Amino acid sequence: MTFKDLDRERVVDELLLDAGLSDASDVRHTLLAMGHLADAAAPAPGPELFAMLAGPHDEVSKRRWRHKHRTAVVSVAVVAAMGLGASGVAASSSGFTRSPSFEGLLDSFAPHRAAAAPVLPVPDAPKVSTVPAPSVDPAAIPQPFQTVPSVPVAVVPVPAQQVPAASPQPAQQTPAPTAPAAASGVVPAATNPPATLPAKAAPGVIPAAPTTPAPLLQPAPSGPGSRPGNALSALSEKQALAQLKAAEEKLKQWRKQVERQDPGQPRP
Amino acid sequence: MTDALTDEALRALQGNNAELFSAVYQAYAGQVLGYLTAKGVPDPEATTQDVFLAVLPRLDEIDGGVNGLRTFIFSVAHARMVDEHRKESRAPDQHEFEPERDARESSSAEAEAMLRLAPYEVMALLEHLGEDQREVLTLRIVAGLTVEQVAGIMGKTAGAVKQLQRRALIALREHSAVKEYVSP
Repeated sequence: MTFKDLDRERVVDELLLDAGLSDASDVRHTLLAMGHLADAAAPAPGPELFAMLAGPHDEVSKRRWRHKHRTAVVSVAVVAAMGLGASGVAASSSGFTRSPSFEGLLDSFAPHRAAAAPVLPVPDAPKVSTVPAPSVDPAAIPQPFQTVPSVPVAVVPVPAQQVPAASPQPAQQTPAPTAPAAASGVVPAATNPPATLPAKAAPGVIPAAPTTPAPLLQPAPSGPGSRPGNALSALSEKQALAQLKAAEEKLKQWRKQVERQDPGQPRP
Repeated sequence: MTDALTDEALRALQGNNAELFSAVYQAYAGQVLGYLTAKGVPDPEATTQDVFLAVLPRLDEIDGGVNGLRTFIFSVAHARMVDEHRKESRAPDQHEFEPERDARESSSAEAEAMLRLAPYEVMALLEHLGEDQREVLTLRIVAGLTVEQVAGIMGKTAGAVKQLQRRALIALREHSAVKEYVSP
């Protein structure tokens, strides 16, 4: 039963008819006016009632949502917890993650290098003087000269004899190097010649001919023994220039000799 | 009178408590307020809220559709009204209400304008009725209940209810006749 104005009028008329007052318009009017009391607007709900009107909706919907998605929520939580745990373990164990890193490589290399330097030269002092040469040769020397090393070695003494004034020091110091090298340690001797020789020889020699690195480096096997003496005693530019000139002259003479020996071979 | 709640709507809202509560409140709060006002309850709005605070959590227990719901709501309102009148009779002299401090005055202006004819006259006329006569008329006209429903709420027989409403109408006519005779 819906209760509207028509229904109210019907009820009022029924009441009046039942009481035998169907002609009493004033009573009807009063009763209808009384019925209008029900037209009052619903009062604004107080806090308690408001919470009841609004609260159950949220709680019920939340409960339903949780019930519907319980497995998904639990699985997501489990996966997240496992991921956190695995990453935490991986992050906390340092040995596992650091070994492949660059720092780990450096750390693992550093002690070997430090250990190799002092250990090697002490027993193999005479060999160390020849070690730097092969390390430099393959990088600097073109292929044709790798077959020739026997020739310059045989030739080197010749310029030294032909030009004693230009290069007195290498000739004098060639016997010496083995002794100081063995005594003072070869690490500086091995590191110095590659740094000083190519730097000073390259600018003067490269414009002359591309083959200059080979003859320049030829004295290196015998030179490293003499270099430490110079480098340790006095690193004067004059000596370096004198050596450079002597080397140039050696180069020229060596080229002439080579051209004489096999004139048919083309020079690069 | 807005009574949009039908049996179909009530069934459709079953299970959705928030919308059901709101719909029930919007449909019946005005009638309950009118009923309590007509019965002269001291604070009809607060009592209306008390009625719905008691009714809404028990909506699931109600059967009989809209009629059953209406009967249930007004039986609760009747009980509350009786409680309020008992409280009033126990402590009759309460004069804390002061119209200048009543914030509801502005909000009730619309209802007052709409019911300009009714409130004072109706309330004054209802004062001449006996308690049961007033209750029967209010439940029948304001709450829209049938004789049987009113009888169930008041704990009386349908014949007693009909007798009460008949006497109430006669009393009203006498008083309105007197009023019409006096006032012009």
